[in-house]
Amino acid sequence: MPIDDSADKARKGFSGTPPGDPVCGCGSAADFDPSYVTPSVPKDLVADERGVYGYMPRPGTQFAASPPWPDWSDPAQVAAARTVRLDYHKGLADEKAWVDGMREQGASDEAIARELVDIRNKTRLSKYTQEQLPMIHERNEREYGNKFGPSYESLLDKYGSADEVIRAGTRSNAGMDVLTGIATVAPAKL
Amino acid sequence: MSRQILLKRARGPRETVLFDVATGRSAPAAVPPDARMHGTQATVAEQSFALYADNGELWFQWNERRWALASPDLHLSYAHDVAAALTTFTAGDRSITYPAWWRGDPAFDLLVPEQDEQEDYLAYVVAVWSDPPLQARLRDAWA
Repeated sequence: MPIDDSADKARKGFSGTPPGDPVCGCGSAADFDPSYVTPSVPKDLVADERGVYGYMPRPGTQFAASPPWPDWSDPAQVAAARTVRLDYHKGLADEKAWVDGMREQGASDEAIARELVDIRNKTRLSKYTQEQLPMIHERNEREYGNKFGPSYESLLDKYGSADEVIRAGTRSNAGMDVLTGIATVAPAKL
Repeated sequence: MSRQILLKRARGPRETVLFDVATGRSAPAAVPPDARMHGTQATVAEQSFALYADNGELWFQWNERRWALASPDLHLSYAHDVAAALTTFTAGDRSITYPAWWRGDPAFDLLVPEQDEQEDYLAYVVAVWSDPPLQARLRDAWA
């Protein structure tokens, strides 16, 4: 059960559309296509025809242990993982569309980044039940000195500029995306 | 003579620290809020880590040892042992294993590794190492 109605409102604020309607101009969820081309093979992968999408993790790297990771050569397991990744990318697309909309309205990078940090924190906290919240508040206090999560200022310290704070939350892991077929590797130049 | 630079503490309450480049040790610095800082420092499993700009380069430092982040000789890795809820970070021939940030966290999703960068300073270091354009922007911002 969501614990913070404001977080749901915040997420809807990305699209400005009623619940259930298409968001971000990407079409319906079924049509949503986040596919992209990555310029090189991610460092933790190796070309391997056993992989459903032609790559497998290098032994000893983050996505290699199986289980708990999916068996990247099993179409059913990879399809399930791909569904999770598509949901994640949908969230990223909504966030990027919200940022673009704010920029079109003339908002400064700092104003956008400050609001985005607040939305991200609320969205994250909304995943926990009332019973679980004290644990995450305590962790946030220990990690960030703020029970709601990282502050804009602390992220500015890590990323150097408001634009980079915005960008930091919308990055995607290319290795995971290649394994789930969302990203394809550009052909090597001869 | 030791050389000290101003960094921001990246874990815990936000504060500016004086970082000793020779030793990797740091201590709170009494400086004006607008004092120019050159990167970040964090303590993970009682070890000191820092990422900062110095002499036109971006550096990663683990206790007393530092590497140019753009060096082709530097290899970093970051991986979880999910069953044991442990994380192992490796830089060159050094390695450290510590409790995973998501230990006991019911909302953690293995298939969203992007969370690591937000929650674990060493995953953030690896993300910067993996992204040369971001390195260039940080080098400029922290110069």
